[in-house]
Amino acid sequence: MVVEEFPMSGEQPVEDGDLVRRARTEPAAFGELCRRYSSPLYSYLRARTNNDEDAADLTQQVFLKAMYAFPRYRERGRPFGAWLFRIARNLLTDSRRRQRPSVSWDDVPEAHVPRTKDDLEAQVVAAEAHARVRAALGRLDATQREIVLLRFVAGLTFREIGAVVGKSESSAHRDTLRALRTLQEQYHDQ
Amino acid sequence: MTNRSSPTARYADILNDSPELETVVHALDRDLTVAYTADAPLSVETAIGRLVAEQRPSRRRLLPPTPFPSRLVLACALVATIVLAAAVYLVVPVAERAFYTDAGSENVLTNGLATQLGLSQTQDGYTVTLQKAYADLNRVVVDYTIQRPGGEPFNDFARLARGRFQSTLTDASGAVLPPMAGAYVQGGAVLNNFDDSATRGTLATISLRLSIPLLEALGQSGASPFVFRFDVPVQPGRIVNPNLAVIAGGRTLILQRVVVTPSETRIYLAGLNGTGLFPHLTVDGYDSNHVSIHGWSPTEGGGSIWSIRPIGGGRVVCDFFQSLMAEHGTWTLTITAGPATADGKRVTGGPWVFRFSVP
Repeated sequence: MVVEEFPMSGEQPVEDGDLVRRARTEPAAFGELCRRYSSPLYSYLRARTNNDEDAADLTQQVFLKAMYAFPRYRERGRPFGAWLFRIARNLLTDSRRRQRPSVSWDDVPEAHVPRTKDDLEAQVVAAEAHARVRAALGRLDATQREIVLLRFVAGLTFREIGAVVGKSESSAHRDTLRALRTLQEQYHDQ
Repeated sequence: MTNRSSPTARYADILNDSPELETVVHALDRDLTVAYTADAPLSVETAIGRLVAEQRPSRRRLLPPTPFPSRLVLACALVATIVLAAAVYLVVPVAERAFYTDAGSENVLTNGLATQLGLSQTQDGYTVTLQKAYADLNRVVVDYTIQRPGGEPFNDFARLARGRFQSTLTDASGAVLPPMAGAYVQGGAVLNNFDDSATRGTLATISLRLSIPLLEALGQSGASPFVFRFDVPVQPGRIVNPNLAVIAGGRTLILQRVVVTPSETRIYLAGLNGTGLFPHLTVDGYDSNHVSIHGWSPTEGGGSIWSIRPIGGGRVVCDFFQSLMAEHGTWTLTITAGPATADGKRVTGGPWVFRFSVP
């Protein structure tokens, strides 16, 4: 089962902007963009939904929505990755209104205990990490939780995070520092 | 996205100004990675492939696709895929499952064309074993496995991919072979492809050096890469030099060279040096627009089926990632151009249709 691919280009990895320009007329380039963000998006959505199936379902919906909206997408001021995550965020809001497959930011996300691993030690380590994450995120407000997940789980830059949540880059940076200082005591001496 | 090479590098924009946050940053990164970070499942990859497959190269813009099937249909498809994958898992060794969407590499592995090497090295508990290698006039394929300390397969490839983890292959002269496709697989196996077209000539065997910066990609800055030196026989292929010129839309395109090898078929064209070109190759029994890879048919989507790219000097190279070694007779190659764009690099004109003989 293939889980990750390099681009079939024979060249060094290209920037998002180049792929976006190619994707205007080349379906393969759009596919490459989607694959580039599939795992970060899925990871982010795992943290915002109740189970892996909902996360996978929403990830697919993000790409479907993106395909519809792509002709109207303009890169100015919003990088492609931030645009995708913005779509994901809106989908989460919509799905919560309909049937609540996603986790409200009033709650702390449920942990995703790996269900396919036979390794007991790995499960124990994961369960301990989940417990710490639940405790940590529970100390943050909704905006801080989202920013922390976008940074630490999805790997977005502060510029991208700002574009996702509607803040400036410096504001996203500042909120992250504030969240980390809130969590500093919990993680002290670990 | 940020650089994922090591926590310190990834969060330099935080830690440079606030070094007192290092403990919490590292701990939070560790816990959130364990809790939520994961590779997108196969169903997502399948959905992306379907999105791409349903789009024809457009002269205006990408069209919206048909909606995804219901979750029930997707679930059934996923179950079927898992059953198929499980069957493959049972009969195919780990290293050979790497080539799930790369038909050319799969061909050279499953037909015994690769050289068994079995070279192992261990550093800091991690063991890398170079299982097999393969070379022909188009590409070199290396296939290796990684084991964690304790012997379990290494599966954290998403972390490596985000860190732009890339092995380096050099020949005896020190020339670096450009990386092509690669695939990570569950079970600790890794496939890397390298472009071999510029280096081989008529050598019967090549000497290679593979450098794998695994530990550095895992965050151990300054760690030494795993380095393997080995020899691989160059598998024979067929080379045809049609030198056919076709004029369309006032522009001339020349089909210079066709190199057919077990790993892929590569076609060299001269007269154009731009993007937005779409190839279509038909031979008796083969149609690049209707290729199925393990039941997946990304028609006209490129990616795992074909690639076309400018290489400078008014030339483009077109790769078809399937073995056409068994295809003889008259081949038909049609090159279609996309629309012009403001950057001026996109080719206009066409289609150019070449019919040529491959013995």
